[in-house]
Amino acid sequence: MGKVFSRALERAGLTDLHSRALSGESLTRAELLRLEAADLLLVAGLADAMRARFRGDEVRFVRASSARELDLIVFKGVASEHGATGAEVLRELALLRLSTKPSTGIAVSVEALGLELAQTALLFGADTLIGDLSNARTLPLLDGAAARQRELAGLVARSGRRVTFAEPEPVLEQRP
Amino acid sequence: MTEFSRIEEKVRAGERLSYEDGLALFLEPDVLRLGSLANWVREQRHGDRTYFNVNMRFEATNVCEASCSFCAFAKLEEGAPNAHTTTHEAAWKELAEFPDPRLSELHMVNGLHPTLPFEWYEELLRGWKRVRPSVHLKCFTGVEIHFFATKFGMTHEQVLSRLKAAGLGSLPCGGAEILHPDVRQRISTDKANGAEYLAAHRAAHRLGIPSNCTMLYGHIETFEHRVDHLLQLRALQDETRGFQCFIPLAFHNENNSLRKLPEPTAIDSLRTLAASRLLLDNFDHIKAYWVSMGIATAQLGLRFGADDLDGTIVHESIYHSAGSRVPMALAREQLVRLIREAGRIPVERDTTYGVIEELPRAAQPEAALKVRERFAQKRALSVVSGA
Repeated sequence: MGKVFSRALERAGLTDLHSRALSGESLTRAELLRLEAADLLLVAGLADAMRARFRGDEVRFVRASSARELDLIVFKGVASEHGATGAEVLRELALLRLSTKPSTGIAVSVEALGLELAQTALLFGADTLIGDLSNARTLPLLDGAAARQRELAGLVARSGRRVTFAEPEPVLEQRP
Repeated sequence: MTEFSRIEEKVRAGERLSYEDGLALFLEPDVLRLGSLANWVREQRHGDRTYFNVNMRFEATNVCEASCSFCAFAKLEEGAPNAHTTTHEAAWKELAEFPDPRLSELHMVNGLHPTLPFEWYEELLRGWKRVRPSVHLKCFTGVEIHFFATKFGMTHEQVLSRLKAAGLGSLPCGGAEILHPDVRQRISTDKANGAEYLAAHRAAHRLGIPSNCTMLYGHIETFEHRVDHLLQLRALQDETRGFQCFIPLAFHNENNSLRKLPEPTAIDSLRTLAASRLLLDNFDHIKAYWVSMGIATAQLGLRFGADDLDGTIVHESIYHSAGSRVPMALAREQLVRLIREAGRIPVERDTTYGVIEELPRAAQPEAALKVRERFAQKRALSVVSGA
C-alpha cells in the first residue's frame, strides 16, 4: 500500500477497515455500510488487499461446470433499471469480496461481464475467471482455444497477476 | 525506499518526472497504487469536477492518400467501395438541423483527399458559421494542416490563418499516433512525420489556436516509445502552453492491416491514463475518450487521472470502422450519470473549457443505495452459486 493510498484512507476515516480486511475475517454489515459512498479506489484497495493477502496473485481460469466444485462465489453482476455502469458493478464486486470469508474465492464470468470488466475485476477482489476456451463467446475475436488461452494469459499478466488453467489442453473448437 | 515510493515523493513534492520515472510507471505491477497517485494529482487540479460537452462528430471525406496500417476508415480514391465525400449543402444541413440546442462543438477529422481544393474547406467552415455561428469548429488534425501546407504550397501559419479567418476555432487531436520514428515509419509512412506534426501544432499555438493531442497506444510500440511520445508533447507544451488536453487512444484491430495484433486491455488503458496524468505535469486536462477505450473503462478512468469524458459525439466513423462496439452516441444524461456514478461532479464545458453548467453531484452513488436497500431487506449479495 502506497503512502498516497494510506493517506487517502486516513482522510476518509477508513484506516481501521484496512486492518480488518487483513484480519482474516469478512467485514460486518456495519463496516460495509461505511463503504457505501466511499471513494471507489479506496474500496478497490481494501478488496485487493484482502485478495492479495489470502488468495495470492494466482488467477484461476475454470469452466462454469468446474466452478460449482470449488470453494467459490460467482459474482453475477448488478441488476439495474437503467443498466449498471462499470463503477457500480465494480463497487458491488469489491463489497462482495470484503463481505465474504477470505478463504472463499471470488469468480467473475468473462462472458457475463465482458473482457473489459472481467480483467478490471481482478483489481477489485476477483481471483477466478470463468469461461470456456472452446467457446467462441468467451473471446469472440480469436479463433481457436490455444489462441484464446494465450490471450487470456497475457490479459491476466497485464493486470500484474499470473493465470493457471484448470484445463490447459486446448479442446476442439465448438462454434455457437 | 522502492522506486515507486521515490516517484510518489517526487510527485507530492511537485517535482517533474524523468524518462526513467515514466518507464517505471508503465512497469509498476500495482495498478491500483499507480491509479491512486494519478488520482491524487487529478484531485489536486480539479477536485471532483469532471468535464464533458455536447458535441457532434463529422467526417467530410474518408478518401485519403495516406495508407496508415492501423486505419480502417480511409479509402484510397473516390469511387472505391464505401468512399464518400460530403457536399457543402449536406454538411451545412446536418449542423443546421442538429436537434440539441445545447450543441457547442463540431469536431471534424478527414482523410487527406487528393483533389479537393483548399477553398473547398474554407467554404465548408464559412457555411457552418453562417448556419450556426455559436458552435465552435474544432477541425483538422495536425496531419491535415501539414498536408494542406505541402499540397497547396503554404506554410503551416498560412494554412492556419486562412482557416481561422473562415471560422476555425481549434484543432482536434488525431494523427499523433506514436511520434518516435522507429514506430511511425512502420505504421504511417506517407503523412506528416513526428516533427512535422508538432510543427503544425506549434504554429497553431503561436496564432492563438488551441489544440489537443493524442497517442495511439497498444499496437507495435513499446513503453519506451510511449514515454518518449509523452515527453515530446510535454516539451512542446513547455514552449507554447497551447495544448488543452491529452487523449490516449486505444488501438483497435478490425479491418486494418494490424488485425493480427491483440488490442490493448482495459488495464493497459487505465495504466496509460494514469502514467499520462503523472508525466504531463503541464497539461490541465486528461481525457478518457469513451469511444476509444470503452464506456466502463473510461468511467473508471475518472479515478485513474482523467478529468474529462469527451462528449455526446453522435456519429463517429473512425473507431467504428476499426471494430469499436460502443454506441455511436451517448445522451447528455448518460454522460452525467456515468460521471455521478464515479463519484464526481459533472461539468458541461465548451471546447476551451469554459463552464456552461456545473451540475450537482449525486447524493449517493446508485451502487451505494443498492447496498443500503439490500441490507434493509436482509437480502444476500449478488451471487449465483457458492460452495
